[in-house]
Amino acid sequence: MELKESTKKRGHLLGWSNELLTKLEASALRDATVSNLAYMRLPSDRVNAFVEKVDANPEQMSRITFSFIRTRSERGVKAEVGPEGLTLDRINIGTYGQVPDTWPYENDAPRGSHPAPENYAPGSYTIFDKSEVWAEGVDVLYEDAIRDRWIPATDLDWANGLKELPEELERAMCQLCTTYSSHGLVEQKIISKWFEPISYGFHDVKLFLGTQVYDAGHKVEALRKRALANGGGLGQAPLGTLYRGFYGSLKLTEMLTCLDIVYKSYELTLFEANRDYAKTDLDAKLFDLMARDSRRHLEYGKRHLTWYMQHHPRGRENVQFWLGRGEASLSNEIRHSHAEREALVVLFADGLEKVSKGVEKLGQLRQKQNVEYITLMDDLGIDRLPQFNPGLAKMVDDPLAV
Amino acid sequence: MASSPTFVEAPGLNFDWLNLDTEQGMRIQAGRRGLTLEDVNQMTYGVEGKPEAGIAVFGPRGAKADIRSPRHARQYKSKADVWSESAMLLYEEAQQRQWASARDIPWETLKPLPDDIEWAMCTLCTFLTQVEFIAGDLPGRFMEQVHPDFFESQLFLGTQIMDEGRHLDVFRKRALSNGGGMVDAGFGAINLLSVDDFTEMTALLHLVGEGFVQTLFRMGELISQNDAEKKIFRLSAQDESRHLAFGVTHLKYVMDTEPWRKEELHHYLDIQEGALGESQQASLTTNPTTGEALAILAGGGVEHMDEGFMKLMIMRKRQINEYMHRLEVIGLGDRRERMAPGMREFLDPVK
Repeated sequence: MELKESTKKRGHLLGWSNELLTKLEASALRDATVSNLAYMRLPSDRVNAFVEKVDANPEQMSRITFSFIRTRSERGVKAEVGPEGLTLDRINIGTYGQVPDTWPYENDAPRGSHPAPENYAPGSYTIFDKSEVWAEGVDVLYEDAIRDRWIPATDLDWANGLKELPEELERAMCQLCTTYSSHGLVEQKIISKWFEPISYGFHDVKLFLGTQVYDAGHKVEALRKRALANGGGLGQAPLGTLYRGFYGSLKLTEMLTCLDIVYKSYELTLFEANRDYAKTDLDAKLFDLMARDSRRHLEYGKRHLTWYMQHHPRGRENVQFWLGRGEASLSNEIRHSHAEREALVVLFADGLEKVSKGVEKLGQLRQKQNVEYITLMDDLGIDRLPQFNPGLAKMVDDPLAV
Repeated sequence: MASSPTFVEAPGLNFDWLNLDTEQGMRIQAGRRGLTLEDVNQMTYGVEGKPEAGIAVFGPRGAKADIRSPRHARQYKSKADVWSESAMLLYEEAQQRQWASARDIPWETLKPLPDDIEWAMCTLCTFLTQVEFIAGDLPGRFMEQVHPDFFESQLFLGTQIMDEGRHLDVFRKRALSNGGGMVDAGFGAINLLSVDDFTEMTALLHLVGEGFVQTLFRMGELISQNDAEKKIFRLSAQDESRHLAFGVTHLKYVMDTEPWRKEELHHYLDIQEGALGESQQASLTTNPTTGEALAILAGGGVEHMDEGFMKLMIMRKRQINEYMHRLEVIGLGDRRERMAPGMREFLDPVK
């Protein structure tokens, strides 16, 4: 084999002697491999030692290419550890942090890498537009989610945090646990269903959504445990028209609008209320932790919708349309699935003796949910009031309306 | 409970949910591991004695279904299709053993490395970050199809998605934190997305894919150059062990309860072993690019690649013998005779 002049030149620049180059030419190696060795800037003693190994076993060693060194990606990347450790935002640097408006690859090439031309297998991804998934700061939200993780089995004081409750209060709590546990189960399903379509360029989003799947699992688990841990049991399963809103979504942003905007806004206010009206220490902590998770999910939803409306040509119009559908499915669930609202009434009234007081407080909760939702819309620059779902609006004055 | 409810007539209120006949009165004590899913797997709320799922709605197991609920078409009916007897245990373990790539890795122990070693590690990390991406997508697809009566399997897969995300992120972090970068992306594991069934997914992803990766990670000491890398591999191996255990126990459950599916399982493995043995697309230790990278890392530089290749052979042998052991646990011990020749040659003789 005769080395190319450029390979020899590169070797000379590294201090490789003519003797070493001759030895390389006499070996079973190919020019491309030697050139790659030089590309790795190896000193002559190490190259010499390597070529001796090649000579000792030419059949196996001649197949080596070191082709990986010909990467077309940015080199010399050195992320710095920050006060929170080596977080995702810390490695989103240089070309590795540049998220294109349209992801160009159908395979699983990571962002910042390029597909090897001879090794390209298109996958099942269908979402290539950044506008359909992106949220500013999603990498930080991911790390927040990691930091905020909790463990239902041991972070809640199951031994001492519960106390015996009057039967109607225990049943009411168990009813709420049944409802929200079911919601968590479907939340897991619907988000994970959308993983596969998201192409690799937007892995930060997929990582964040993975944490939401994990959080939703906590709802399933912790609420089920709570329902069964204090002498009660599960109650009535939810109707499930809410889930039709999630499942009926034809676009990821539509699903996120239904789940991480309309529903999460409602859920966050609700969990905070459940925390404030909790009858046991464990219940207060449970709802507080779940509210913290919901707040993060809602934050992603807000940031995503902001991005979507700013970057998708029909962003604002589509969002208005999807909000209508999301509100309708939520409204249908609340109005036609009475067990949840009645359980809230019992908890707010501290029993069955003063249910009218509970109904009044439920109205106040609905008012708060609506105000916070409309405020959220205002923050997003959406004047939602003129189109706000009449069923949701009516719940304030008549919380038991069907 | 303290007292019986006093029913109060109130317009617009029904309160029928106060009088449901769902079972009440479970009494449980939190144990050393807190309150676990196994602790509440009792009475009518337990999964035992339910070989078939109930109606295809989203109601939690043991709750009273709403007869008006819309159906969901894409749910497995048979428990054997999705179940693992270890799902609850593995789920709780996954909770306890979460770690954070940002803080739990001693990143400060990374020091500048010669180009051959740094880029070999970056090559491995590029490959692994590709593979982990798929290893999260695939369970995601099947979580939807787990009936709520067997929700523990779904919960476990949810932890797997979290784990795989963390692996994607930690290998990406390693590639971008020590003066290297990514290399060109090869085939990765995209072929796994072709599977069409939960059990097929488990056979290919958990048993074969994660099994082989787990063996490699457990031998991470051999290829690590610093404490950061050692810890990355150690913690990742711990996660992979759980995923692998889920796969093995699921397949064992299939064999125990539906033994007539044995040939189906063999068929999945025939195809996959063929892919591993005869093609270089999918296998970490036989793929030329990652194979070279591993040999450099295991040897400690290009001049020691011969030793590196020998260590790779040891790794390969261990991968295949551990795989064989898992097959025996599942009830597929006769795979020894049917294994693809390129793999069978690494099997230790039967003791």
